[in-house]
Amino acid sequence: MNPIIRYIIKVVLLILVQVIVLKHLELGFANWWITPFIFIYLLIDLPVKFNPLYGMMIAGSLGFIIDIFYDTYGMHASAAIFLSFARYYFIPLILPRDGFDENSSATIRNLGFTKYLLYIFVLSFLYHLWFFMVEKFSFSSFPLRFSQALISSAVAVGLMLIIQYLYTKEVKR
Amino acid sequence: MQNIIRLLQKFRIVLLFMLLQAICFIFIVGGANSFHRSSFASSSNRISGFIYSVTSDVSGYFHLEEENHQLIEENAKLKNQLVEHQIVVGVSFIKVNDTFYHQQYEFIPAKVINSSISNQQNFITINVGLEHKIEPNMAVVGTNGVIGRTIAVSTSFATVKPIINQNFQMTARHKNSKKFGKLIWSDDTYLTATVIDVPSSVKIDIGDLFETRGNDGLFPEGISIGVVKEVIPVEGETYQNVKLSLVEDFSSIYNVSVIKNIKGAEQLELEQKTEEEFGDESNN
Repeated sequence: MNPIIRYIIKVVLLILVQVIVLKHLELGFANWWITPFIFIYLLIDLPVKFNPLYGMMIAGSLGFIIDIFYDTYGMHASAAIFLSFARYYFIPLILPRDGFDENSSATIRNLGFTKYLLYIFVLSFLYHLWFFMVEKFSFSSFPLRFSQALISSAVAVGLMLIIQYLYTKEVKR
Repeated sequence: MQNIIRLLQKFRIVLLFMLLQAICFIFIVGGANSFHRSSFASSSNRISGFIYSVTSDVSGYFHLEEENHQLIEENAKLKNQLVEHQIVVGVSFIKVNDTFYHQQYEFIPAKVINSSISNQQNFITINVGLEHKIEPNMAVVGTNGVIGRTIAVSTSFATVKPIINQNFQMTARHKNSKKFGKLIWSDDTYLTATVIDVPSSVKIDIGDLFETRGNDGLFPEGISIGVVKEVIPVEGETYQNVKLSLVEDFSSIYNVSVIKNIKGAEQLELEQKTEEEFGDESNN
């Protein structure tokens, strides 16, 4: 299948899962909630040498779509652009020096489980932290937001690993 | 010149990042401070409204019992208020359909198709819009009390900014003393809100009711907001803060009404005219 069509199908599916299922889960209590955002898998999963300029544009558009559903008006777009920006500088630190196909995305198989976990955890943590800080728009409750970002991104990583496993299974067939 | 182009090329990623972030932040700050939003970028947008109305149709079946219960209770409350069900205590109290009374508020029923309680800025989407004569900045109430006000409206959906949004503000009045303060929501849970700047001369007991003041031209007077949970005195100031527990449970709202103030435009016009004519004098 054409990779672009495949990507668009992924976009539609993940956004629907995000806004229909995850948005209405509301796990947590009082003013401390676990809100995992897994649509960022679409950005994390882009080919490793994808042009960061286009990457940031795609991130902005996807974030804006999520903003529409969450009524957050630019906050997810901002966080997603930050994620793409950070990804560009983070990838060289984690990739093996050579023998890596530049057109492929980072996966468990070609990075190894530990490195892959580190890769998606750092990126999704940055995303969640940026989003929570922008949403609150002040540093007043930083420890609270920090812990919230930590747990939310851990849950998001768990869900993204499940997606990754499902996806690789499909390829083996 | 060539050096500048080379410099731009070298830093193009950082520059694009900063440009995009600047655009986002213009949106974020603008969205936080406005009463109106374009429905294109809100959940009342045609596509998201459609998706939410489909999912709420499905999930709605699971809440039918609870919803029925709420409606029965509200019905019973309203029946108790009917004139026919009360004993006439004096001849002067008989109410008839006379021309001295004009209807000022119109209630438009609506259903919540999407809501959240887990964010700093929570929003609600309802299934009425322009075709039901809904406009931005109209009051929304639930079966027990105040919910919020509309901010973005499309053809058949509207987005509501509820009390549990950190940018929400309104005036709340202490029912017994009629003294008022400003209702805000910051560092609160979805069950509470805070009223600030209530004069400290007012004696407030736990369990007292706070209600709408009816001065904003949106909410009718005397709609419940919350019950006093805690009084927080401020050292050395002439005001006190009050923590309310909200009468509406935002984790389970299904049926709401949007309130149209028929005389609202008239009030607003008069207030603006007054400000234009006499505003300058008071400054001098």
